[in-house]
This record gives sequence, C-alpha cells and structure tokens, in this order.
Amino acid sequence: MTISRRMRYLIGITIVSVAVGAGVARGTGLWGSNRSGVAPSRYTDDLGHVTAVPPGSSAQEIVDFIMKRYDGSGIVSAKVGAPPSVPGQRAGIWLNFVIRSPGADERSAHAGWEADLVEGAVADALQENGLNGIAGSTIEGILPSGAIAPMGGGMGDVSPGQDFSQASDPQIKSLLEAGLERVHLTPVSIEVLHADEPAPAVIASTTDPAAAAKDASSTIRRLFGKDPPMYEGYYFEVRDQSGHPLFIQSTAFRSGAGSLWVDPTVQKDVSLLHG
Amino acid sequence: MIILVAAIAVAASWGSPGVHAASYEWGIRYLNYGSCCLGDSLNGTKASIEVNYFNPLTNQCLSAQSYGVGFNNTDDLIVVDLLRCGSSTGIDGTCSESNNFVRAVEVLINGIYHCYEHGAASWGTNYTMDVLNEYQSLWWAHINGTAYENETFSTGTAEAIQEGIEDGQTTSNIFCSGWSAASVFAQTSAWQRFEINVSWKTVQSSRSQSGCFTLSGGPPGAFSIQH
Repeated sequence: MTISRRMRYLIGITIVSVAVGAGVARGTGLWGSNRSGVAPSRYTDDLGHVTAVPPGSSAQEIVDFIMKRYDGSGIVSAKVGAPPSVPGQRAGIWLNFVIRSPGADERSAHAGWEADLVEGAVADALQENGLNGIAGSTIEGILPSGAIAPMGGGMGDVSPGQDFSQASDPQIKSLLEAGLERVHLTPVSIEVLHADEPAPAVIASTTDPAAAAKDASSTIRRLFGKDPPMYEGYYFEVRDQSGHPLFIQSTAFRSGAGSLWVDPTVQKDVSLLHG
Repeated sequence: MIILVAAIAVAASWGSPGVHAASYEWGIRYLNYGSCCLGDSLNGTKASIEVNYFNPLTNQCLSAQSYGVGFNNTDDLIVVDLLRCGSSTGIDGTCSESNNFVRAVEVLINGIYHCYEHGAASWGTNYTMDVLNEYQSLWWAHINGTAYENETFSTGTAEAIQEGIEDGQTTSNIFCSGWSAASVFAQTSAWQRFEINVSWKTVQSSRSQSGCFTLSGGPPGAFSIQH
C-alpha cells in the first residue's frame, strides 16, 4: 500500500535531511527519543514510507482496515484493548490477537508471525495519524480442542515509516524460487502477505537437513537480505523430506519482533542464534 | 537445566574450531532455587548493568543480561539484555541485525524464541534491568522501570536467576579469542532477588560460571565481567 511517488519523495527528503542533521547511524533512532525515552530501532535508512489508511480512522478502524488487506488466514481477531494494570507501562494502546493454533508449539509460528506483521503495520499507521503507538500486545491461540493457550506477544521500539521492497507478488515469488534453487532447497509454498508492504512466507524442503541447518544463516541473507532487509518481514521454514519442520525463523521489522524455532535433531547444526 | 547445559557447552568448547552450528556459554553469577537463599522462591532478579564495550566476532552475539529460567525448559525463559552481534548474525532475525548495540527482551514460549528490540543502548551507561514475577506466575521484563514483554512460567518461582554475559557463536565450538567485552554489574543498583509477596533482597553470595570471561568483585557489591 503506497502513497504517491512525489509525496514519498518529499517525505523522504525531509527525513533524510533530519537524519543527516542528527548524524545518526542505522539501527539507532531517527525521531529522537520515543515514548519510552529511547532512540528507537530501525532496520533500514529509508524512512519515507507512509502506511496508507483512511484518514480520521480510530485505532480499531485502523486495525480492521489492515486486517482486511493483509491476506493471511492465521488471525481470528485483532482488538484494541486496555493496558494491563502493571506499573511502568509505555504510553500507547494494547492489541489483543487471537490466532488459529494447530498446537501449542511450532505449528503456531506462522499465525504468530502474521500477528507480528499486522501489529507493525498498525503501529506505523497509528503514529502517522497522530495517535499513540502500540505499547504491547497479547497473542492467544485457539487450539483444536477449543482451549485457549497464551502464545506471547510484544512490541519493540521501532521508528515508523521504514520503506522496504514494493515488488509485485509474481516478482517476489520468481526471485525467491530462483534463490531457493541456488541454495539447493525445493519450494513447498511461497505466499506473500500485505499487512503493509509485501512480506513473503517461504516453506521449502531439503534432502540434507544438517547442511540446510548449517547454511540457514547465509540462506536467509541470500533470500531476504539482512542489512538492510529486503522485505518488511519474512517467514522461513525448512522441512525434511517427510514434511517435518527442521527450523523456522520469522521477522516483522515494523514491530521489531523476530522468532526462532529449531528442531532438536538439527540443534547442533543450525547457524541461527537465539538469546 | 540451562546451567548444566551451559557447563557442558563450556566443557566442550575448547576443541578444534568448527564452522556453522550454534554454541553458547556464559560469564555469570547465578542463584538456583533450593540451593540458596534459605529456600526462598526466586521471583525476580535486578541489577544495574553498564557495558563499556562489546566487540564481537562477525558471527557472535554478546548479551549483558538479567535472566530468569523456570522448570519447563521449552516454555519458561525471560531475558532482558544489552546486546551487540557481529555483522553476519543477530538474535531471532530482529535483534542487533546491523552490528548495533541495542536493548532487547527475549522470551521462550511453546518452544519458540521471540526477541523484541527496544531501541539503541549507549556505551558506559547504567541501565537497571530486571525480570520480575510480582503476581501469579507472570514474569515481566523491565528496563529502567519501564515494562516490556512478559512471560508466564509453569511455576511462579524460577529454577535459576542470573546476572551476566551470554556469548553465542554460530560455530560448533566457542572461540575464546578475537573478541572483547567489558561490563560492570550492580554499580548503581545492587544485585537483588525478589521473593513474591515479600520484597527485594540484596544478594549476598552466589554461584559463578566464567566461560571465556573474567569475573571479579561482588556480590553483595558491584562486579565486573570482562574478556
């Protein structure tokens, strides 16, 4: 979802001027201190993007608008909620997501990533419309039994307006198919979501799980870029020949949220770090 | 469990250099539930943390952190940290992805690690970092009193709490050379543990693990962790 190229140019020039004047480096703040009094993170130097939503929308209307366009199927509902009654909360709203959860495990990773993406787009749109940003979120999963399980939730301190690839879905799919071939992975599925700008979800398979795990870090850099990343987020899952997931990494750069799951069988091989 | 795994990792870490895979080790001071504190439950850890420099290898992350881990090792972990990764890596795809020094929170939920980046950190600045379980079994991460992510533990008490530096490398063995780190803990805010429904208590003594690091000083006073 874009605004006019001229407007983007003008906004970009303004922002770049501010950035140069402030002498900031990528990864630190552009907008000065934010609602937490810290310099927010950013993953790209291009901060000229505006998340288009109908003007004058309320927070819930922005959430609803972005939910309609994001194209995913993992989120059941997204509602603006009150902050928890815990001291020290950041200023801003809370979002409460309910997602479809085939299990309280890695099978919920994709739907959780969708929530991270939507949250980031909403956060940008709120701030660009003069509203408070997002202070936090909850994600709950509906399990097949009907039980509700906590699935986390959170929100980084990230500069709004980051601009990522706006390539078309066919272009992105073609690029990713070629990239997978180069790293000896077979596409299982490639979909592109649009919480704001495109965010691809790639599931691929391998005949050599240990090698795929060892190459995971470099493969992700080749497929999705790193500094800066190409897309506003990605979901990357590699499976073995029986369809069992080996590792999953997902990112949402507007919300500053990333996730990593690794199957124990390749834990000793994988080149991805968690904390 | 985490500490045991860490000890094994360290014990196995000085072998022949490898490529790829991920290895972790720690320079930490820690408390284990049932082995300290007259049996008090461990419901939080808090200290000021100052990092003077982290110069990681390109495939390494260094994290100065307050850390709580529960008894369910796939679901009970909350870490608040000052983090810098080398240029070719990062944490969970979003934290310190551009060799930058950042504030971050990581939680482990249903076997999935989640990292949230909370803006730039500054060298030589003291941050009061805590992970805290004030009611039921919900743990929150705080930086300078601001609440960030939370995590529900299977039991209220942690199995272990710790203050220190985590060293992760995308190699099958830990390399102890070619990188440097300097930090001071508990300099402006003492290391304290929290007992639910009671209060914060200053930690008087602890266990330690050094890995590639040199630890000196407290508790109960400040302590440095360097490499």
